[in-house]
Amino acid sequence: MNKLDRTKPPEIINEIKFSLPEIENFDLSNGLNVYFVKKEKLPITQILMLTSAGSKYDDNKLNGLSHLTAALIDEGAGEFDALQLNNEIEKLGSIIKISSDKDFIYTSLLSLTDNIERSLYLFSKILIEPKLEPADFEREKKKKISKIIQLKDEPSYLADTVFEKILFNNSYYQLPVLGTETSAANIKLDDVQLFYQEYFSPTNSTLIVVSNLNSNTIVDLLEKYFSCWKKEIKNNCDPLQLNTKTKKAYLVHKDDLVQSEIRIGNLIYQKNNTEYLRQQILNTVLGGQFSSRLNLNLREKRGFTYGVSSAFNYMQSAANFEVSTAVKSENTAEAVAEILNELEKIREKITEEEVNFAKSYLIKRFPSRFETYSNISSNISVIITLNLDKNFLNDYLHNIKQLTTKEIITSARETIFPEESIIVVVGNRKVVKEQLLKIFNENLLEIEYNDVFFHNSDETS
Amino acid sequence: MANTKNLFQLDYRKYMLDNGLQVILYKDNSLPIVSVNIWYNVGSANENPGKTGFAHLFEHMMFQGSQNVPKEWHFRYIQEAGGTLNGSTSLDRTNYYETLPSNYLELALWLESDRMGFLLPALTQEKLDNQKDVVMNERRQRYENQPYGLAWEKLFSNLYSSSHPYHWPTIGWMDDIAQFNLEDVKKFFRTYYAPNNASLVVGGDINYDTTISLVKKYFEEIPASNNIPKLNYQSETLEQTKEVIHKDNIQLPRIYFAWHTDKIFGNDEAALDILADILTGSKNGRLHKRLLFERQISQDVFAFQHSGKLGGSFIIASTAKPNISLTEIKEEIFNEINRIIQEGINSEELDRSKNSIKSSYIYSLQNLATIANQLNAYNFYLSEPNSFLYDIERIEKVTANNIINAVQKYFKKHFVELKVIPK
Repeated sequence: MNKLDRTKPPEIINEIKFSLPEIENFDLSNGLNVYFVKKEKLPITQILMLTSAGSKYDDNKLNGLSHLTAALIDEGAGEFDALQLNNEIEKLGSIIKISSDKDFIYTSLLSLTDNIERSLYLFSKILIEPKLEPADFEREKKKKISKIIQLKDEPSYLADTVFEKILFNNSYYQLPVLGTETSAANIKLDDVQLFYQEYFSPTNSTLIVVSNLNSNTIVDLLEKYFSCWKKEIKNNCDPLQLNTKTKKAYLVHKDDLVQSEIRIGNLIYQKNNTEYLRQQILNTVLGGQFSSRLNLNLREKRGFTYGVSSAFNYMQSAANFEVSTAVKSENTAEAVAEILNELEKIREKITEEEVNFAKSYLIKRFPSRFETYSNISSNISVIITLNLDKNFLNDYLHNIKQLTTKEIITSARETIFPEESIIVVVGNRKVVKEQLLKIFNENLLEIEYNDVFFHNSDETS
Repeated sequence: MANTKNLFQLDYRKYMLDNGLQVILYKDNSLPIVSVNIWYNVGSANENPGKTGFAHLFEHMMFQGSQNVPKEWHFRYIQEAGGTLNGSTSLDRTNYYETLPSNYLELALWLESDRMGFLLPALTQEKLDNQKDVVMNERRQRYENQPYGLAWEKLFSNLYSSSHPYHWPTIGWMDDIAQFNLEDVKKFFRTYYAPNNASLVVGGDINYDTTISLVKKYFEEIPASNNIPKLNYQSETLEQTKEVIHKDNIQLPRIYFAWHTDKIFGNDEAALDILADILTGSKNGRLHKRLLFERQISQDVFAFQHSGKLGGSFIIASTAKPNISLTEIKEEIFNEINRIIQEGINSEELDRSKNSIKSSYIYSLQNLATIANQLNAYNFYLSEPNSFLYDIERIEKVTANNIINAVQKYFKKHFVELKVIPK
């Protein structure tokens, strides 16, 4: 027997066959837009409702209202009080989760298909007839304020909050989703009830269903439980005119830290299918996966961090580029300098090999993005949250293959601006300040820990 | 609940190569992807005082390349193929896994076999120093720099005596990590990283015959190791209840309790899992209802059974709301535990917990990587990869009396009480 030659990776010959599941899109009689995908593997139904009711609709003084409304809608609904409702859901083995971000409130249901009728009934009650009662409101509000107090201990939360506040200064995106201790304390039950009335409607929501049932059965079930929900509301926020044009560094003092949390980034403006895909390739090269330039440099070469990544974050009316990491306090300034250096470098040169790697990475992992029921619904939700073309997933592979290295370099130059970046460091003053002053001089602005959360957002400049 | 038994009867094949490698194959052709998952029977429990954290540090070294795979290229090869990959270390074992398109199965086997058989020629001091830095940063990020991040190691180092291998955290003590040398790495590899100390699962879009011949091609020439040390520890009890106070950079104090209980797949483990769900698994969980809903003195509460090969523990923890004392929370927690003994468990809450545990099992079957890892886990702990149905039936068989008996058996003994309070 010949000895096995291990020196080269095995040759891959056969191509795999993958066909995208069919994505149906239709409206119910009350105007609720529905995406449906049939998946037969297991007797499971996954449902995700997106309601355009995120924290961007919060009034500054009542910041946190959207989040509190999301927390309260499943604390009793229809004929059930909070504990009864939870008991009914648990008995079925179903899971209902509610979360929110700056644009949307997300309500999801995971159910065994055998129990879908009862689960859907309870799910619809939460969306259509939440109780919103005083005792539940007081309890959830106190819980939320305590949560905000707890988050002040989390260096990563501090960094994210300060970064977004500065990046989206003077716009509705600067508000933290949870609000502040002061703003959350201002919220009254009336505010929640009004917020619910103004934003929860079939025409202001989109429903995604992934199930082993046929679409006809799903349509019948949805009509049965949702057609009584009739309200014409469509909420749109004005597009943003944002502008940050000077490089500025901010040091948030948290003197008990042994690592610094770092965020570096800038706003971007354009967004359509093509731009989005270019940015995905660019980000794969720069910081979107393990063997990216940033991670190989800061983790594998220098040992500054456990990990560093970059991302394009997209919201309905704005988007930004962002690098995030946590590094040993002693390495803070070096890490910031290395990141800025990588941002310069990627604007100058990206090789054909890097682009081919990124394309291969994105194209070949595409089938596994349809593995679980919730994988599928989150893929579809991206189309909605990013305002992408309805055929986005159908055209995905073809469109990625078309992109050229030149286009990716152009994309880097149009989206990454090291000279205009916002740099936020949350760190230990004694170890970090001197290091940062050497790079930024008078461009280093200091923020006391207590000022991050104690000021209302409209009081800072 | 409907009859879902057939979902839990997974078809699989198990082989052993001449060098002792256990191979488990599981076929599911619904998507063109495969999961490869290897368990090495070595975890932090195989370490010694002064050398803690080594199994985990070594896991990092396994991604640093091997004789035929340059540094960073293990990740690169798999990601270029559209795969995802990682590894993890626990008390009892270390695992490595990747999910990738099925036509790349051979690539995964090449990579896994190269580091199982040919790691040492590629090892350098520079790589070790780099990964020591990375792991120390991992420790800073997850422990030192994290609110309540040091609580687990405080809890377990008090629950287990200093000679018990569950005494230290999986990531190890910082001083120990800083002092590892190249000789430690070589010795550890030679001792534990051998085919007869591992099991390999290949699951997903495969053909049985082709896969077994590919596995043979890449793994059968790797020699077995002939002296793998066996671990054998007696279960421990506490001589007295220990109260520990830890000052942390936090605003809200938190209290933790830990009791010695049953080990993994022990007779009482299923009852303890259900007990945890009855206490804190939902809004109707007894402790959740009492502390967060009725009295509103806690911000959160959680309970779970944490078990390994050499022993298990039951943990309850709760964070106080502003201006609430931990003593008050403690009193309520013990009241609820006593109520279980005095008043029992009602059939509605027992059914609710069983149903939600069982549904979660079905939901977990959506994910091939989870199934592959579970086959390895069952094989490791029970010597039978397809124990899904056994595991579910274990939960279904638990009676209210089993739970009450478990509470009486374990919760009347000494325990560790840890208070994390603001600095």
